[in-house]
Amino acid sequence: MSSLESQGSRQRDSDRKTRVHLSLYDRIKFILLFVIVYLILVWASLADNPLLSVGDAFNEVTRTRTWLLLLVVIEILRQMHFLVSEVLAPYHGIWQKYFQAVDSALHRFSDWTRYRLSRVIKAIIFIALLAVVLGAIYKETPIRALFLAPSALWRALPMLGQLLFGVFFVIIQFAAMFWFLSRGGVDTYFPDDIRTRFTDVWGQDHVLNRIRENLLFLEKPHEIEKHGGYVPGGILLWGPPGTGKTLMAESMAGETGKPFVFVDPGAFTNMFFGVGVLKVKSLFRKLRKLALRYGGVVVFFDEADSLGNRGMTSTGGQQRADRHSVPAIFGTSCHGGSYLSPSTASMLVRESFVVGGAAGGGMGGGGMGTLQALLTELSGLKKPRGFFNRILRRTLGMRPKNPPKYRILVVMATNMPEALDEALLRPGRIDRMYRVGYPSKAGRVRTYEGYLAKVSHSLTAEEIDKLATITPYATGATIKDTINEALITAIRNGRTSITWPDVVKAKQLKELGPPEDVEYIERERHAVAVHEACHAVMAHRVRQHMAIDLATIEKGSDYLGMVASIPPDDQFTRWRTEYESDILVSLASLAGERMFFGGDNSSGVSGDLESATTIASLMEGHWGMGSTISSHASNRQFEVGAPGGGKNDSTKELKRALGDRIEDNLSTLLIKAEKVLKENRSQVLALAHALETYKTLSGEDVAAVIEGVQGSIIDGRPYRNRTFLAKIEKYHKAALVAHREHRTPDIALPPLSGSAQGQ
Amino acid sequence: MRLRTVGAVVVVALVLSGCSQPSQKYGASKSEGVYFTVPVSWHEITMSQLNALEAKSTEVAVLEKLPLVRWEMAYSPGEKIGAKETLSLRPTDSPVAFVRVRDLFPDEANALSYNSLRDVLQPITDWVTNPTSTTPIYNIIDDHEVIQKGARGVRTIYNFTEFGVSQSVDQTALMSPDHQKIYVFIVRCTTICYNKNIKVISRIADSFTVRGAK
Repeated sequence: MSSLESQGSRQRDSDRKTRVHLSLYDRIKFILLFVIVYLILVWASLADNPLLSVGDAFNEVTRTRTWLLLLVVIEILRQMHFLVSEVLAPYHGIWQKYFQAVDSALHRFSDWTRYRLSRVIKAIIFIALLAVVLGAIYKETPIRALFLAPSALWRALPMLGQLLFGVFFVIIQFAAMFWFLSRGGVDTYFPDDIRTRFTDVWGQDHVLNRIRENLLFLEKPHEIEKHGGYVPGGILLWGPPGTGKTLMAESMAGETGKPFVFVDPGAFTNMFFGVGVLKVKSLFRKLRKLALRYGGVVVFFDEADSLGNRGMTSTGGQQRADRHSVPAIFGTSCHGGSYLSPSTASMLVRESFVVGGAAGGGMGGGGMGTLQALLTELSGLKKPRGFFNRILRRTLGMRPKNPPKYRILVVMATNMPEALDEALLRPGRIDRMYRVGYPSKAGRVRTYEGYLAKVSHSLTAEEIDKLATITPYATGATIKDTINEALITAIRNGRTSITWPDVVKAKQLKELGPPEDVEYIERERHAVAVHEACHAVMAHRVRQHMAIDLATIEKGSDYLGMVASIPPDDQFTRWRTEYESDILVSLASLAGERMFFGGDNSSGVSGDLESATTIASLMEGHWGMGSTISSHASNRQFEVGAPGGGKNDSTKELKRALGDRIEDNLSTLLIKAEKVLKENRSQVLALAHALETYKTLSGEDVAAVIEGVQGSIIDGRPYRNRTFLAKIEKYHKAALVAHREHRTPDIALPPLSGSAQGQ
Repeated sequence: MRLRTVGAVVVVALVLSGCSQPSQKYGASKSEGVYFTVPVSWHEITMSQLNALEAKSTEVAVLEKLPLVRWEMAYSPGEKIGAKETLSLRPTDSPVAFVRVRDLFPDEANALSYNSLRDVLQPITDWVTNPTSTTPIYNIIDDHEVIQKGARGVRTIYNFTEFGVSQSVDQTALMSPDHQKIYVFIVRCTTICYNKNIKVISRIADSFTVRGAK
């Protein structure tokens, strides 16, 4: 340590009294050069006379090239001078004074001029030595030999040409292969090629207005540039699938007076390393050319998430993780997720994505430098344009012209914005990000009207409005599909005009999938009906922010039955009471099954319990709807742990572990659910009977059965009849016995007779 | 440090080699691709000297062939030996090395054979095949084919007596592959001289190398 500390800083060159020591190479490099020239000359002599001995060759060269010897001697003297200067300070001092004057004279020239002069001198020395060597080879005077060299080169050109052809042949093969591989995936549309206009995009007016604004700036850049601003260069359209992002881009292509370049999502997926980079470069070369020629260009990257993300390493991981990490509530026999409002359901999916996706990681996309190349092209250095501009002007000592302003509007669309690289989204690359969400009700009405106008139908304005209400998360694509399905249903029934039942059936078909036409055994049919009836009655009684859309016990591809609900209004905030009612609806199946089946319950409640637990966890840990205040998300992020968990401390006891609190909350709500169902026992059995009878009920009919009133299709009034209710209770008891003994119930499902309806 | 030593050795070698003399004289026509060596002490009889003498000749054959001579020169250790002694067939007390490269007339080229190459100085073939009373006393010591990179022909070593003196000749006569050129290299002197200088003469004759014109 002390020896290290005792070492001072390296002495500055200006403080030295002696010359800086030369490295060995610097000391011998010129002598080495002269020796090489000497040896070449000896070799030339030996090659010239086959009888010449090596000694005589040295002898001859030494005698005939005394100047070379002189140079060697001068160089040796110079090196001796340096050596003495390195050792003797006074000697060095004398020369310093002399060279100071020379230096100051030389420094009258600029650094650049001195650099150029030194290069000229070096070139002259090189040519002189070359002349000597060539003279020795050609047996001519050095000057003459120098002039003979080009003719020798000319004679050698055919051979050089052959060699170069060989080299270029290999290079051309590679270049051609990569050129062909880097083609494709990019389509260019010119104005009037596409007929889609902004008027063809319905229900997304707020986004369209913004896009229109961007196009306006592209068409008239001076409007913003004269005020010191700049034309926004990038737009990201993100949102759920089918909300019209690509259609918007298509309408942009139709509206703009500039060329529109469509980049295929698979354009940057390639087999060989570097092809993606070539594609990006070739794309942007094309864009720059179009931008200069037409004054601007729009480029659209569809499914931009295919470009990948540098933060994730393995390929396709996120998509796979997403696919495989769907919560059990969406894949169980009870289809537990369907009892939740769509926003809650999407939140649960997102939660599982965050947990599962982060662990899974990985997203490939283009990869292999493609994204980096794209980032650089989007906002990298803009080099001067053109070979002559860059090379010729610079060779002639002229400054290349400044690169022109390329007006390129980059539009990207994705339904996975979280998969995009952060650097891609920074201002300067993507300046504006617009969410293309689900259309508003007015937008949905406009969209339904638009698609219905293309077919024959008998729907009234009220029915269209109602249709828009009961399809809150319908997108342009789903609306188009539903209307088409309704038309198919009508044609199958021998009609060409769509009616209201056709639309309702099409909607059910699209949302639930086709029924599997599976006949339950009686006791299981009754169990499923009671299960769904519990959900429906609970939803009807406690959940005000959602309306039942339909209830069914027809088995689908991944459910035995379901109760689907829809939000009657476009609501953007959610409240504790609403989440509690969601949990109550989920827990209703467990409470109901235990109540109606003597404490027994099926595995069909697993999905319901998972969704209830997830919501309860989020309420307790995230949304400030529990007994603690801190956010579990932040606690997890900072690894500080959840509050509570102590056993003995009375203060901590209040703040028990998160899991305990969630369990307590769920238990409380389960008791409440049992109470509600107990109070509505006859309504549950009535609705179960209706489901067993009709299999599928609309939301209105569900309400009619529970309230005992006339519904849109089903008359619920018979279910107010006490005698009929007693029959239903009796049937239930028989089904319960059959359930316990695993056999067919003793009595059949009581029919809805005219007498029952009359009483 | 080792590099410095090597550098110093190279420089010293250069300086020393510059001070020393060449080990031998090199007779060479790089344009014709013909080379031979003679001892350093030998003096040169130049082409111009030889040409000048030949030009004075009264023999038609000599004058006709003179323009076809591309290169000729001679060396000899004898101080008195000049162009006249070189070109005459009189025996000399000192060895004379003579080289000539000459183009052939078309009929010469057509008629060229190993025999005609042997007969370049004396009609040896006739001496052997048709000996007459005028045939001098001769003795062929060696005769063998010579094949070089730029030519092929025969080397003949013989002696013969003329003017009452026995003379030895080591002659090499080669023709170019296209039969357009003849290369003649003769080293001769009296037999006594030859026997005395046989090693030197043999070395000189052995050194004769034809690479051909570039």
